[in-house]
Amino acid sequence: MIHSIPKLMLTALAFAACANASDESQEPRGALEARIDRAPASDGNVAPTRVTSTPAIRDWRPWVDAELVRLRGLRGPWVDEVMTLPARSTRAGFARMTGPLVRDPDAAPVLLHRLISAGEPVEVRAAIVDALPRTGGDFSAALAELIAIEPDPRVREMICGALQRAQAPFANAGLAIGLRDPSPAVRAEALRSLGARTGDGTELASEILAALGDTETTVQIAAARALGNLQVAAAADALVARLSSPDAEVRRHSLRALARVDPPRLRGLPQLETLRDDPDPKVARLANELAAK
Amino acid sequence: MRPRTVRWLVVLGLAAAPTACKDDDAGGSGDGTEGSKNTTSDGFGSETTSAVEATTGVADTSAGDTSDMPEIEWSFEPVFGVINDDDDDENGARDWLQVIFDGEDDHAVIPIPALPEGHRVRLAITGDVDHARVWHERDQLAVGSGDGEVVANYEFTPAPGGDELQVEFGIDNARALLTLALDDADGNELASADVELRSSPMVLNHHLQPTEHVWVVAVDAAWGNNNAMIDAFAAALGDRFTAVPSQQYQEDVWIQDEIQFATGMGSQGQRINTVIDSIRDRGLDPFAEEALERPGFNVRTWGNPADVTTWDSFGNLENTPPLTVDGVEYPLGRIYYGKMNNAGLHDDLAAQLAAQDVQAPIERDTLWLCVGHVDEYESFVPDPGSPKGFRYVISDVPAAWELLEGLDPDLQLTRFAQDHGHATVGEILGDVALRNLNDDLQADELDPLREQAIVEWGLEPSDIILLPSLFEEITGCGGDVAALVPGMVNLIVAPVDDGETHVFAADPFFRTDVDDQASDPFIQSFEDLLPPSLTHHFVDDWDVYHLGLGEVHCGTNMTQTPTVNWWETALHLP
Repeated sequence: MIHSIPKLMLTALAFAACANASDESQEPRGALEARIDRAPASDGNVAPTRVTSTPAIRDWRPWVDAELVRLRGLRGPWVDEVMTLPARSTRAGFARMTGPLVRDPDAAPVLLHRLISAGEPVEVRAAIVDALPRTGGDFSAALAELIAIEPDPRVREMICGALQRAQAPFANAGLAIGLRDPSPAVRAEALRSLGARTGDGTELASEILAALGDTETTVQIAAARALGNLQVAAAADALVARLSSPDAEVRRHSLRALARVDPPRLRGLPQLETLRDDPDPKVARLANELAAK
Repeated sequence: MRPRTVRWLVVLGLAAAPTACKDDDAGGSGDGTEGSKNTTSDGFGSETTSAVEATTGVADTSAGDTSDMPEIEWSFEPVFGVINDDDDDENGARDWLQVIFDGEDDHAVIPIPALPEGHRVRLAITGDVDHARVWHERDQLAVGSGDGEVVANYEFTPAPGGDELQVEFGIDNARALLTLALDDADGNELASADVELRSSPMVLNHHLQPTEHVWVVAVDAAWGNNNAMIDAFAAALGDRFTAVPSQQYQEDVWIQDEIQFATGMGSQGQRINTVIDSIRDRGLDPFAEEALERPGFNVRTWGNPADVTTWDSFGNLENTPPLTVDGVEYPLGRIYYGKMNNAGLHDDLAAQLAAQDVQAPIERDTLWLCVGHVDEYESFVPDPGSPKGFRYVISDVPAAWELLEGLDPDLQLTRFAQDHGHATVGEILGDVALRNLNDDLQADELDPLREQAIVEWGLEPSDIILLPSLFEEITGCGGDVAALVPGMVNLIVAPVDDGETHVFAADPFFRTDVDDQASDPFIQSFEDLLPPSLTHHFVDDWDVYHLGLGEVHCGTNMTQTPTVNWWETALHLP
């Protein structure tokens, strides 16, 4: 990972520079001030719905610093609570941050401050990243930059997950870095996020298509699913090639993706008939279902 | 099918002539208080019948004048006992490892009728002799597992007026055969009877059994609280409910996962409760020993904690109600747990469950779930109005789409906006990736699981409730999923003895006004689909459980009353 950081940092900075070109991405200070007097939801009830529509803040580091100063002045005890909020254990075993303290847009800069401050263990930093989209606040530029310099693959994986709900252009900027990550778990998570971004995920269609040839089957599967969700027509040939993968899950997800990308072509494929007798029951089941359509 | 008991009616004749001389090398003091023993390491064949075989040298009691002779029936009921693995005297040692003491209540008794003076009884044991033993005079080991050796034979003179043997077992589902031979004063064998000794299988509970007690870990922390859920349980269950302080257990709220209750029942009224303590060993690890272990409750573990996986949590270990499948009755239900391609419940525990014979476990594919537990997508609820007395509930994606498509797409989903990124019904319906994901899960996972349930559990379509459910991928879980809409199938059933059956399920919060459950279409659907006999409680599990990747069932555990005498109904299994 170390050897790739300078290159990745350059990439991130390039994206950040692009973002800086747009003055519209700077949140008006008035809007920030308007959020100040919101009372924290400290009784466990959920605050009223706030859809994530805050414009992304490109110069996120000074924003975080400024917000922290501002919030300490207005909501000092609340800031302290967010700063010490523990990452609780999920049923799956990994840590998550939950609760009313997280469900507050003001929690985003506080959590970002925790994230970039020294001292938090990996599982807490991963939980902070995971929580950021649930704040309803902004984190887009921050995570797009941090993925390039974050040393731990688990945190980078969580960043890729969080970027699914980040704003353009930062989301794809960060996910593009994730696609080149040395960790297959990070690459796969980046692909899942891109596959869920049906609005702009196709901007990285060629990179996703390339991931179908990744050495790791988990990445191939995520790529196939993303190509299917995004209906990348150019992926048809590559998906057909994957129908003969030795990995059953790759065959299954490639088959399904092909059904979404190019249904007429699938119906004429001789491989579809072969897959109806696939030794893997899930592959065979899907092939029979598709053949019957 | 009840085992056959062959009765020998022996007319005991004091003047009866011996027909054969008996080798008396077994010795014996003949004072009625002591016995003698031989040791061996005899094995046990597959026969477990209680049929009695005549032995050579039986006195011909039909000959001569027997009018003055007492009649006695030399026959014995099969012994169905329980494992003696608790600590009734609370001295820190398993009772199986101790001689009998006052207060021991896990032994079965074989009464020996009063015999004429001088008559003696010879005992021999075969079978699972390492895990069964017979005591005489409470503190005298007669036959079976001893202190480092197996005692195969024993002879004694019963006390005047009758005597008794006490049978003890060291494992679940142990099987042995005890032979009781009756000799007259001259050493002639008058009769012999074989008695089946069997300890209860370790039986897992199912959702139709009455609830005895329920536990939930109460948490009130910055990351969430379950105060409303605790209040709901307390109000419905009263003193049958205990809130466990979370601070004592590192705020580990997943009490379903840490322990599994099971019971062993004996035909003489014995009951042993086994707390299967998971190798999961998170914050609640000491709970079983600290809060549950006591006389009548033993705590046991299978598997090595070093090998632990998510599938070793006991939301991944459940049991169906009583079933009949292809003509075979499973009166105690069938165990099911997540395991596929060698990934799943630990082999040691799986082997223990299979070895009980009576609950025929099946494996379910849960590899698609982030947590990977069977309680995330299927359950059972009582339904007295249905032919089987229950309904099988399974998550169903098409039912969810149908429900959502009937709603106003602009309906605001207050809790989903930030925590799941979907502010309205329309946003969910318009999320192509989410729709593809859920449609794929239905086709690849839920449909095959439902089909397996139909085959393995003998279900009809009318037995099945398709509960609207949606899932989402969980970041950091390798593409695996958990409930998007709080998993209402992940429920707990609590039938109580006043005839009311409470069902506690997650409040789905699929609405704008979080305080108005009446406006929630998922609640309405749940109430419409589930049997009308149930009393529903939709509890707020959002922060503590739902966002922690679990739901109500994951956060509860309970003891239940066994309702079936396995020795009367389940001996045909396997």
